[in-house]
Amino acid sequence: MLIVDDHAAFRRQARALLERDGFTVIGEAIDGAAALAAVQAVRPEVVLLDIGLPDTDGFRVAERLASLGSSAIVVLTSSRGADAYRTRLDASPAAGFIAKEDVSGRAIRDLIGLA
Amino acid sequence: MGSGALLVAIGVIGTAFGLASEAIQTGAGADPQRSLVDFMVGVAYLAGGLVAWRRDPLNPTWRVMSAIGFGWFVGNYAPAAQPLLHAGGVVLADTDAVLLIALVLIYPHGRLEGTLHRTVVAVAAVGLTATNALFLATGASTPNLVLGLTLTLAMLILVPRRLVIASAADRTLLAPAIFATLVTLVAVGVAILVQLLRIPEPLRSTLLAARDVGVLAIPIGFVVGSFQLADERLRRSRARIVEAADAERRRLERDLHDGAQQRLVTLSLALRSARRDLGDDRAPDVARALDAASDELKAGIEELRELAQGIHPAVLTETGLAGALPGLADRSAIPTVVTSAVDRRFAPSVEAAAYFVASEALANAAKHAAASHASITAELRGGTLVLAVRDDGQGGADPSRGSGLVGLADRVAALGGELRIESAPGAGTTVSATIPVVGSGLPRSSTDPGATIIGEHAHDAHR
Repeated sequence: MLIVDDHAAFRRQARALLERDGFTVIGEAIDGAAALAAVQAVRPEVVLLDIGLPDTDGFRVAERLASLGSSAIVVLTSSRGADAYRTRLDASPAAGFIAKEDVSGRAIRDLIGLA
Repeated sequence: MGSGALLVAIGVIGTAFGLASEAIQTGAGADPQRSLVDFMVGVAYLAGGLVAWRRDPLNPTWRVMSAIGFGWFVGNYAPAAQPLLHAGGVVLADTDAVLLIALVLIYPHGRLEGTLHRTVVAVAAVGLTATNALFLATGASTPNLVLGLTLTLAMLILVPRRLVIASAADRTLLAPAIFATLVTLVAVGVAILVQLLRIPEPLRSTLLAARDVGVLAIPIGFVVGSFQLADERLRRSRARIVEAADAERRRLERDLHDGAQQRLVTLSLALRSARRDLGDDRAPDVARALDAASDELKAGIEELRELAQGIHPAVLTETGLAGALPGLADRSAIPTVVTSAVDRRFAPSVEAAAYFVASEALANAAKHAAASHASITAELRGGTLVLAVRDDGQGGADPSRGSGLVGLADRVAALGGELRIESAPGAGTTVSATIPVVGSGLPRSSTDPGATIIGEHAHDAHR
């Protein structure tokens, strides 16, 4: 799993929680450009991708990853609600959206259909 | 403002200057009736200029217009017996024409813009004075009349040209002044031709009288313009206030998002981590307390999210109306269809006004109108964004009674637009906003992650 978020505290807590929930966090990135580079470098199965990034937004990163032929499953997250993003979520190659406070191993597994 | 007394003094001196000049004219055998008309034209410039000067004290346009009131009478002193008055009256007879040209070219902002405009004013000032001096010395009037006619024809091209090159916002301001100027120019041009071609009486007198009426068009047109200018200035200042308020709301939302929301979200994950560490078997009281704290925190995060969204929707900043309107429909309490033919970005204050109108109208439809369906349409007609929200509720809404739409009507009006509410009883409610967007478009954001330089790498990028 790769965690992409510009807030260090969130990355740290999300990593701690997801590792406890059985995920192996193999990388962190702080913006869209670093995320693209990291996906190509470490080939994660899942990318937890913040929508509000300093250099771009998560939707664009997800589209870019899809167009680069990445097989990583993208889970978008934000501290803003999903409502505001629904239309873009429908059109996005990302697997879905989880509000930041709801991020957990189970929530991600439920979303992407992992056992 | 303390210049009231100054303006009155200028008015009194100008009137006395005009009366004395007309006395010289009638003394030299001029028709008293024509002198009266001539006096009134000069006073019209003086009074119009002073009234507009008082309203708009920092704009030099009105000082020039007041000065025309003086310049108008200068030529009347030509028949004076006193040699200096006579010479001054002849040589400076076209002061009014020079100032008129300047007035028409500096309106509405009070500046001569471009070499062409400055050259025309300079040629008029130097040339008309020199040809009048020539007339004083030799009695030849043709050079002065030919130059006057040339300048009139030049102005007939330059004045409409100003309308063509003006910004859209200035165009409305210029229109009455330009129309008035064209009327005056034609009247002046005809009068010059009358003198050049030595048109005989009685046609000569009729055409010269027509000129005196024609030149009245300028003070009238320009005073109308000064009122428009004041309105426009007020509207622009309101628009700036709205823009500043919008910017402040965006900043607040951003600060909430980057600050409190991030901390609370992170805290929520920390609490859940702690709860996982505790497991299900140990310390059930602590586990219950942690669960309760998590739930409470989740509710707090939700409330903060609603608050931030209400202050300024981030989706509007990020994706404009194209992304934000469907989001509104999704969150609406009644089923809402969005038909938007608008996929470009506008100035933030235009987008915010349209968004908040739609948001408020939908909220009213759900709360007060007992509506079962609503629709949002957005389209661009010419340079105007037209947004309409319709519901199938009971209608009969009274927008003047404390609805949030009153504040939104002010917001829309500050942008030069208009908010309309149609709500006949039993026929549903339609709230529509028309907002001019000309010149307010922003380029679409083109941040492409693939095109940006790769930033800081992840710390532990290995499996």
